[in-house]
Amino acid sequence: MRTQFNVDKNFGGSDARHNLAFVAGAEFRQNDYRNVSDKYYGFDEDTYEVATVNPNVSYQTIDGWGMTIGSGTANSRNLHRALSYYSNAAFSILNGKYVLSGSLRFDDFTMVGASREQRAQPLWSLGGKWNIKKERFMEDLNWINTLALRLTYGVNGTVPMGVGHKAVINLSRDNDTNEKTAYIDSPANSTVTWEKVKSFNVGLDYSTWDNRLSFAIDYYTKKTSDILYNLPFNPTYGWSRLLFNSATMKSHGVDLGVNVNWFRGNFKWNTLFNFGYNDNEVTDSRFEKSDYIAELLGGSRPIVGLPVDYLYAYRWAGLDNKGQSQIYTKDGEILSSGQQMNELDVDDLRYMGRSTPPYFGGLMNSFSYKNFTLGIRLSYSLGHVMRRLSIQNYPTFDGEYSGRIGAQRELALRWQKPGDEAHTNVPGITNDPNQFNSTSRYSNSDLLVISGSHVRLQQINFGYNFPVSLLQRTPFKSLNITGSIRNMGILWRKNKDGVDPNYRVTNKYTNLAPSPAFFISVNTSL
Amino acid sequence: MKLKNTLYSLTAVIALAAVSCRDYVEVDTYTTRTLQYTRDYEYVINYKSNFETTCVFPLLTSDDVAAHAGDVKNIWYNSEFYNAFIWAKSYYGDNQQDLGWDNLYKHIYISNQVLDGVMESKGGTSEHKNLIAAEAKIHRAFAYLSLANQYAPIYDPAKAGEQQGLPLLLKVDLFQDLSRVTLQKVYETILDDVLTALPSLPDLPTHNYHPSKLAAYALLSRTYLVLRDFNKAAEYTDLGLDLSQELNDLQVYNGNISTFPRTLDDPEIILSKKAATNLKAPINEELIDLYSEDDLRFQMYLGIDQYLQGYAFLRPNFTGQGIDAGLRVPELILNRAELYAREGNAGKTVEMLNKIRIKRFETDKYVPLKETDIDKDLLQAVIDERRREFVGTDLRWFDQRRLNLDPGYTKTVTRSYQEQTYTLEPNSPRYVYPIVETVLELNPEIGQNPR
Repeated sequence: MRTQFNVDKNFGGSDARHNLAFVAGAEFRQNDYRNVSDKYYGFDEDTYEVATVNPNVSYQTIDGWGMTIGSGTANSRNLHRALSYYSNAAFSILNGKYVLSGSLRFDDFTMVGASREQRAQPLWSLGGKWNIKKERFMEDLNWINTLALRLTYGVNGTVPMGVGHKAVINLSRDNDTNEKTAYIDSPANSTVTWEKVKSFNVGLDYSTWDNRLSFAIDYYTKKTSDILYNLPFNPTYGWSRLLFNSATMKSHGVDLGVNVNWFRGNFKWNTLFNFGYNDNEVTDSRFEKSDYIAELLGGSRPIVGLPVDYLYAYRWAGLDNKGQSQIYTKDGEILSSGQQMNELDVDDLRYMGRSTPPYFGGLMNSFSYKNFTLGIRLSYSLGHVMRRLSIQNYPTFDGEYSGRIGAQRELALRWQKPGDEAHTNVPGITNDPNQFNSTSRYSNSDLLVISGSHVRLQQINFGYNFPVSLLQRTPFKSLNITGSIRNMGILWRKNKDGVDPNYRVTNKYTNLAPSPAFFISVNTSL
Repeated sequence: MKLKNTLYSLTAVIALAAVSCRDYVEVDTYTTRTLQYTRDYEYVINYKSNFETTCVFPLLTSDDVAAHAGDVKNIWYNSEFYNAFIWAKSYYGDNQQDLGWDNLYKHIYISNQVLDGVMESKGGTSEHKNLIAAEAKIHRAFAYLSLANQYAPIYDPAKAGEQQGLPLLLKVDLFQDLSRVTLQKVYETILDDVLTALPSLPDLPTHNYHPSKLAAYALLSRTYLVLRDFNKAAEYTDLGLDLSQELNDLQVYNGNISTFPRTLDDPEIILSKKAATNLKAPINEELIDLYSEDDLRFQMYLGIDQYLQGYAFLRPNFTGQGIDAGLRVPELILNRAELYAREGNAGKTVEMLNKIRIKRFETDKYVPLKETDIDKDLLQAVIDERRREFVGTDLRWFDQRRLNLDPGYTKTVTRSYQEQTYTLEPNSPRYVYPIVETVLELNPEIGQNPR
C-alpha cells in the first residue's frame, strides 16, 4: 500500500518562470508465501487412489540390502514485510536556466538476525544543472544549439545479506523421529555493516550544427567503503566463508555518448556511439596484502593498490618427465607438483591484468530510406584478460566426479609418455597423489590467460512501414512489419583460441553463448 | 477548498508514516529466527546432522586396509586418499579443505553456540536447559577426543604436559587466538565436559543421536583407555554395562539382511555418528586370517570383491546409512575385556569375549572360548577380537595409536604403492596427521605437526 503526496507548482511573478515539483511518499508491503508438496506412490489412473506406504519400514532392494522410502511431504511458509519512505524534489528557476534537484529515501525490510542500523540507512542525492544556452551571453551564438552543465552527488549503499548481528537458525522437522530440528544458518557477526558508495558526477551536454551533432560527456568518481566480500575463513571457527566489510576503494570513469545525424532527407542516417572507461583501485583493506595464494588466484580478497578485479597466475614452466606441471618462482627456480603451497609465496605469482573490461561501449547505426528502416548495433569490450578453460574434471578433483572427463579438444594433446613434455603443455592423467596440484597449477597458470577484448554484433533490425496511401482500401489504419536478428555473436576477438570471453564453456555445458534469434513482427491498427 | 485537500492528504501521509514505524518489519518469519527461546536450542540439539558426520582418514590409515589397496586401478578419486594411504608428508593439495577437521570443528562451534546462550534463554525450566547444555558438552567432548587422536601426538602420561595439543575453542568468538594448548589441557577439557554433563543426562537416550548417561560412560571408557588410567576406565565401563549390554544376534539376520535394524532402531548404537564417506578398500589379509569360517562377521560383514582383489567391507550396505563412527555397546564390552586382560584376570576376560562372540556365531555351532585358549597372551586375544569386531571402522586407528605405548604390541605396517614401499614404524611421527595448509595459511599460530 502506498500513499504519495505530489506538488507541482509554478510561481514567480506574472510569467511563472519558476517551478517546483515535489513528491513524497510512504509504501509498505507484505509477502506471504506458502508451499505444499507431497509424493504419492502406486497411483491408479482408474480409481485415482494411491497406495499407503510406511516411509520408515525397510524394504529389500535388488541387491538384497535394506532401504526405506522416506517421507515426501514438504510444507513451508514465509512472511516478509518491507517499508519505504521516499521523496524527490526539483526546483527550476528562470524557465529552466538553473535547476536544483534532490532525492531522499529510506527502506526497511524484514531480515532475521539483523539489527536496525544494519537493515536500513537513509540514502540521498543532490544535483544541479546549469542550462548555459539560456544565458544572455549565449543567445546570439546560433551555432550552439544546447549547452548544459550537470553536477550530481549522492550516497547509495548495499545491505549485508546472509549474516546478522545475531546467529540465525532455520527450523524444520526430523522425518524419522518427528522431533523439531534447527540448523544454524549464519553466525553472529556484529562487525558487519552497510557497504556505502559515494558518487560524484559532472557532465556536459552539447549540441551543434542544427542539432545534428550532439554529445554528452560525463566524468564520475566513486568512493566505495566497507565493501562486502565473502572472505575465506578458517574452518576451525566452524565457518569456511564469512561476509565481511573488508575494504575501501575508489574508482573513476568517463562516459561519452555521441549522436550524429548525418543525413536527414529522404535518406536518413544516424549514428549513436557510446564509450565508457572505468578504473578502480582499492585504497584500504581490512586485511593486509594477502599472503594467501589461494585467494590471490581466486581473486576474492581486495588488495591495496590493485583493482578489485585483478587476475593473478602461476608462471608456467612446462611439464616434467612424469607429465606433471611445473611452475617458476620469482627467482626462476622450478617447482614441481610434488612441492606444496608452503614453498611458494605471493611474489611468485604474476599479475596479468583486470578481468572486467576498462573500455566498453556500443555503436548503433540507423538508416532509413522512405519507408524502409535498418539498424545495426555493435557492442565492444576491450582491455581485459580472462582464464581460458582447458582440461577439466580430471579424476582427482575432490567432490564431484561425474563419470566423464570433459570433452575439450585439449585432451587429445595431453602428455602420455615420457618425452611428450617437449611438445605439449597439457598435463597427463595419472592417479597420483600430486595430480591435484598438477591440474590446478596448470589451470591457474599464465599459459591459460588470454585477452578478453572483443566486439560483438548484437542486433540487426529492419522494417517496412506501409504508407497510408497503400492502405486506403484496406481495413488497416497502419501496418508495419519489422524483423530483427539478435545474438549474432562475435565480430572480432583478440584471443587466438576462439574463446568467447563472455561465455566460457564449462564441462557441464551450463554456460553456452545464446544462439542467434530471429524475430519478425507485424503491427497494425484497425 | 484546495488548501483543505492538501491539508487532508498531508495529515494522511503523516498518519501513515507514524503507523508504519520500524516495528512493522520486525515480524517473525515462519522458518527462520534468532536463538531466543530454550526450545530453539533444543531444536539445534535435535538436528542430528549438526553432530553426525565425522571424518574419513582413520579408515584409510589403519592396518585394516590391505597393503595393495592403492594399486587397485582407480580405487579412489581423491588424491588425498592416496596420500593418507601412504602416510605421506602432506595429504592435501594447494586449495583443498580437510573434511574431517572441518566437520569436527563445526560440531565444536555448534556446541559452543548452544552453550553460549542456552542458560539465559527464555521459556524453559532449569532442568531442560541443563539437559540441552549437557548434550552439547558431550558432542563437544567427542569431537575433541576424535581430533586429539588424529591431529595431536599419541597421549603419553609422562609427556602430555609438554606435548602440542589442539586449538581449544570453548566459546563463540570468530576472532579468538588459535594457538594450540597442551595435550594435557585438551584431555582435561574433555573429561571436564563429560563429568559436568553426567548429572543432567537421562540414563538411556530417547533416540540414539541424543547423548545420555550411557553415552557419557562409553565416552569416558574410551577416553580413560587413551589416558591409560585403567582403574577409572574400568569404573566407568562397568557403570555403562549396568545400563545396557544389548547386542544384535547376527544369526537372525543371516540370509535376511534387509531386515537388519536401521541406525535409529539399532540397540547396539549408544551415540550415533557416521564416517564422512563410505570408503571402498580391500581388507588386510592378516585380518581376514583372524576370522574362523563359522564367524558370522566374516560371512556377513565381508565379501570377496573381484575389482578390489580382496575382501570388501559390506556392513554399510545393510541399511545404506554409512559407516558407524560413534559409540557402541560392543566397544563397551570389549573395553572391559581389555581392562580385565591388563589386570591379568583370564576368567573375566574370557567371559567378556564370549559375551560378544555368542552373538556373532550360530548358537548351535558356537564353541565358547576357554581360559586356556587365551592365557598365553590375554591382551593379544582381546586386540584380535577388537579387530574382528570393529573391522572397517575408525576404532582400529585409535587402538593402533595407543598400543604404541604397550611395547611389543605394535608392529611396523608395510604398504606398497606404485612399486614403492611405505612403512609405518612404531612411534613414528606419522601416526599424527598433517594439518591442511589452507588452515595454517589463515592462522599460522596453529603450527604444523612434525612429520
